[in-house]
Amino acid sequence: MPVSAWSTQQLAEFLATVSACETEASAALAAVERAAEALDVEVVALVGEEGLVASVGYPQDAAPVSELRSVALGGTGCELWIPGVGSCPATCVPLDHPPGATMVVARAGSDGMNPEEAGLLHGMARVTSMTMRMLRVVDDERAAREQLTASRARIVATADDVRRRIERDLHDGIQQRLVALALGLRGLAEAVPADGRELRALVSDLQTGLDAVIEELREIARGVHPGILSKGGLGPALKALTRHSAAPVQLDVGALGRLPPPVEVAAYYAVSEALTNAAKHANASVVRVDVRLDGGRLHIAVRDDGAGGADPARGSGIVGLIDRVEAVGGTLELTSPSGAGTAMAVELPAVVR
Amino acid sequence: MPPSRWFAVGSAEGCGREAGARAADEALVRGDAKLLVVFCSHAQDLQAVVRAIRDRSDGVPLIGCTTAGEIAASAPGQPRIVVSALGGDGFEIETAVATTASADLRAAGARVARCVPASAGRPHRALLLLTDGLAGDQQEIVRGAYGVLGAGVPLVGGCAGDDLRMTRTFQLYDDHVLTDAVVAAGIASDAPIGIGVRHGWRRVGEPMLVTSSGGNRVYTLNDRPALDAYLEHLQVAEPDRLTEEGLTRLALTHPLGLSRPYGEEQVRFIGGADFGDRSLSCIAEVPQAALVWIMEGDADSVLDATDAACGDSLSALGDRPPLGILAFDCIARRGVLDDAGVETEIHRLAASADGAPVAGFYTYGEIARTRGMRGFHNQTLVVLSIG
Repeated sequence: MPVSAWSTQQLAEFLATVSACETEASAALAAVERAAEALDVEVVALVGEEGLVASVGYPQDAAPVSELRSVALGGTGCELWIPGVGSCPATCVPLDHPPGATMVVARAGSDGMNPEEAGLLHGMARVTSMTMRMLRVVDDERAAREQLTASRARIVATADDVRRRIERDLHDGIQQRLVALALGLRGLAEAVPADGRELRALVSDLQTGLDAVIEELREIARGVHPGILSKGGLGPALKALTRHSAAPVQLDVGALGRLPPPVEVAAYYAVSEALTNAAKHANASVVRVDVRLDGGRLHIAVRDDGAGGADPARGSGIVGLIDRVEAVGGTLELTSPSGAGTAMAVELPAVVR
Repeated sequence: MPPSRWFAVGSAEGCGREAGARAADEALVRGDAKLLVVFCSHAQDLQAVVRAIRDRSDGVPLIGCTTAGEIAASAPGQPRIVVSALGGDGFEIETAVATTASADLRAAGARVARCVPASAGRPHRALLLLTDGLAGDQQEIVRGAYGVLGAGVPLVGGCAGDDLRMTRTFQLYDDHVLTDAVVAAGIASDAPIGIGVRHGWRRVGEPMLVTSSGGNRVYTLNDRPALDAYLEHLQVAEPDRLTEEGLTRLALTHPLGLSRPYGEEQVRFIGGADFGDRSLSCIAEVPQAALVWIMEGDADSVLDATDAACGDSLSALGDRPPLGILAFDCIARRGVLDDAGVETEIHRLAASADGAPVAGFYTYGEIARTRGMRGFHNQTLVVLSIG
């Protein structure tokens, strides 16, 4: 085979192997190994500004980093001492990435690289450089995505904490004081003399109004954070939720035990939002809710027989819900063909990342 | 007085304890043995063989494996138990084993490589490896060992066999009979150790491009199902009627060849095919985008390679005569040599050794890394000369 065809083939094999690597470190190791195999050389090293990126040909943990750096700076024409082999001519090729890196190659014997081999080496260095740069970009994007997810989870968790505190403050503070006032009014009503009809009517009106305020306050507190979720867990909270639903609900909850609070809260709000939409927008006559734990994940399916046609883009409820679900590493799928009901499938990890 | 070194081979026909004991007695010519290397058929009662040899050798470290045929200078080609012994204070030898190797072949290679003695007084070192060739890409073992030892220590050895059943091979380590293992001996010597590698195959026709492959499996050649492209290239009549047995016979004498910058092509033995997806299964990695040739050989070319491998191996010893020779000879080469050819090959090995003992076995893959980093071969003869 002509040498140029040989080097094209070697480069194609090298590209196929190195470009399939998933991390910069594995690409660097594959690059030095495959270059050593393709060129039949003893040593290949990737020397960066901050030290050795990868090498083969030296005993484990015994690569002479300062000698390799010095050869990398000195360029082709230098020699490398390889234990058990001797002094070998070195060839150096700079890489665009990692910044300041050089590929250093040394072969036993007195022969250096011939022009075809040097061309192949430059091609391999280019492939290595491009692959490692691409993997760096992918790594950076992955890290940014993970940071974003973590940040979203922190925001949701902080908001949940605030809501939980508000609910507790409402329950333990204003609500208790209003209940005490209501008891006072009841005492006052009993103390009104028999001939004080007008006063009794006035107190009775005040009692009715106060009871309505207390109930309204309870509703608001439930909306801010369902206290029963913290106390009893997801199962009892869903049962309470369906009792208050305007649309009839068929609820089937498997054995759940206690789940991490962010998962319980996300699951609760997912069902709550679906029930609200079923009653408010879809005019559903029945809603079926199935919740079960399987394979370390919480599966929630909510299906109604309403008007369908729900579009997450048109309202912030579902969008906010998707944010909340994804913040704990879950997924939400909504299927809502017009006239054929709405189905929502939510999957949440039973363990928070 | 210079340190002494010795190498001896014992071989015995027969089975079990009694044959193992006879072979060990013949090999243990002196009392200071440092290593025993055992080759025998998988059909032996391996536990009994190992126990007999260990009883006679008083705990001398033992490595070994089952074979596709044993090699000894006397009475070539007969089934037997072959025991080689290295001894004397000119050698420093340590052994190692890695089990469940297929889970991570690279790690297995790295683990056993650490047994090579870092002996400053003995400059000549090598790692002798006996592996399970059915456990995956053996070049991964070479990469693992090279990563630990670097370029200064040659790697040599072969893959165990099971008389061409291709189902299960065994490796021997001290008292243990193992499968899916790598056993190794790190040898440091005060005299040179020579390694020769040749196959003698030549290209047939035009090359084909590996358009899809994964590890040892080749899915397509020139964008055609690999099995179909292979059979077309060989102009096999009625390829649809080819049986697995027929393919095995064909593949033994027609391996694939990958080009290398120096020396002979790298040969890849075709171990089988998936008649469903029409892919080929090789006993080593065939990288995607590689150009491969179908190779062929004849008795003359294969025997010429025997002479050349012996010559390369012995030349590394300089003027020093060998203490002995270990040969790792691919079973597929026997597909080209008939019984007389096999006998000729063993006589030529013995002649090269110039009276020194010869031992070895027919392998499912050969290991020899002396320059560069590639070290796993197929359908090749590897000769280790001990100086």
